[in-house]
Amino acid sequence: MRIFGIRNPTDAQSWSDFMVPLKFELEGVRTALQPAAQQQEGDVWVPLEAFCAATDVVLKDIDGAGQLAVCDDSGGDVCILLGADDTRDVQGTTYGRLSAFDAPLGFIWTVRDDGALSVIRRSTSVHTGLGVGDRPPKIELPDVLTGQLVSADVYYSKPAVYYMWASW
Amino acid sequence: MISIAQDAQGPAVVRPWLEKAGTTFRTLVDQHNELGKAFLLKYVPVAVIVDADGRLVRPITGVNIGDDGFRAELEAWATTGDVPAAWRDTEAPEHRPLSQGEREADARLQLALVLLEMQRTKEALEQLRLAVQADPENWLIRKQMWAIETPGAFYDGPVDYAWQKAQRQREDEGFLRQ
Repeated sequence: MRIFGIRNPTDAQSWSDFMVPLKFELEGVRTALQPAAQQQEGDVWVPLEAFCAATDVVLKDIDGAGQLAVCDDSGGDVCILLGADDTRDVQGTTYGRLSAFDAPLGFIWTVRDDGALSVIRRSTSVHTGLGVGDRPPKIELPDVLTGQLVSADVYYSKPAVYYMWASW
Repeated sequence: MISIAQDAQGPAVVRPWLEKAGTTFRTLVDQHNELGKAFLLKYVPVAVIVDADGRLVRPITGVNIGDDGFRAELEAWATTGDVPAAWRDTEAPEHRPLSQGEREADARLQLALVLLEMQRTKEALEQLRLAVQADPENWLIRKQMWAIETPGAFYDGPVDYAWQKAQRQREDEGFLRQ
C-alpha cells in the first residue's frame, strides 16, 4: 500500500461560526449527504464517513489509534493520511478537508452558484479490447427527441448497428 | 439501426442535423461521453454491430459509411447474416485500463459539462483545455472544445476543415507544446 503525505497538526480552532452548508451532487446527480458538506471561506469540508460511503472510497483508522486515512482499495491501493488540520470534529461527526485528499484519489469538484458541491470522480470503468463474439456492455442513453432513457438491450434480440457520430 | 450522437452540448445541437437528414431511425445522445470512455474511443464515426444474440460481429472500431466497400459488407450482412471475412479478421482493439491522463481528461470533461450547464463557458473551456492537455489525441474532447469556442466553424454552413487544420497547428505549437 502506498501512503502519502501527513500534514503537520495544528491546534483545532473554532470554525463552526463561518460554515455554510452545501447541497451535494455526485457525477451530476443530486445525492443525499448527511450531514451536509460545509464551506468555510475557501475550504470545503465533507463528513468523512458519509462522503467516503457515497463515493466508493474507504475511511480507515490506519494505526488503530485514530490516525485517519482516505483510501482507494479498488484500483490504486492508495491511502492519503489526514493531518490534524485536515479534520474537524463537530457534534460527533468527523469532517475532512476535501482538498487534503481530492487530487490523489481522482476527485475533481467545484462549488456552484446555487450552493451545491459538485463532485466528479475519474472513472475506471472501461470495456476495451472487445472482439468478434464478445457481448458489449449495456448501453442506456436518452432519446434525443423525447429525453426518454432507452436501453439498447431491447435491440439485442435482432441484428443491430449502433452508429456513433457527432454534430461537430 | 440506432444512431448515437457524441455531443457534449446535448440534443439542441443534434436535432437540426436529424431534421435536415430526415432520419427515420432512433437517435440517442451520449452527452457525457459514456461510450467513448467505456470503449476507449477518441473519434467518430464508430460502429457497434451485433447479431441477434447480442454478440459483436465486428470489433468496435472506426467506420466510413461513405466507403462503398463497407456499405457492401453491411448490406450483405444485413441481408444474409453472413459475417464478412474482413470483419472477422479485424483485430480487436487493445485491452487496457484508462491511463492517468485519460482519466483526468474524462473527469475534466464531466466538470466542463457542469460548468456549461451553469453557463460558465469560460471556466468550462479552461477545463476542456486542461482535458486536452491531459489527452491531446482525444478528438471527442478536442473537437468539441473547438465547437463550443468557435461554433461558426462547425454550425454555420459546411464544416470548416481548413480552420480545424489551422487550429490544430496553433494548439500543437501553443498550449500543447508547453
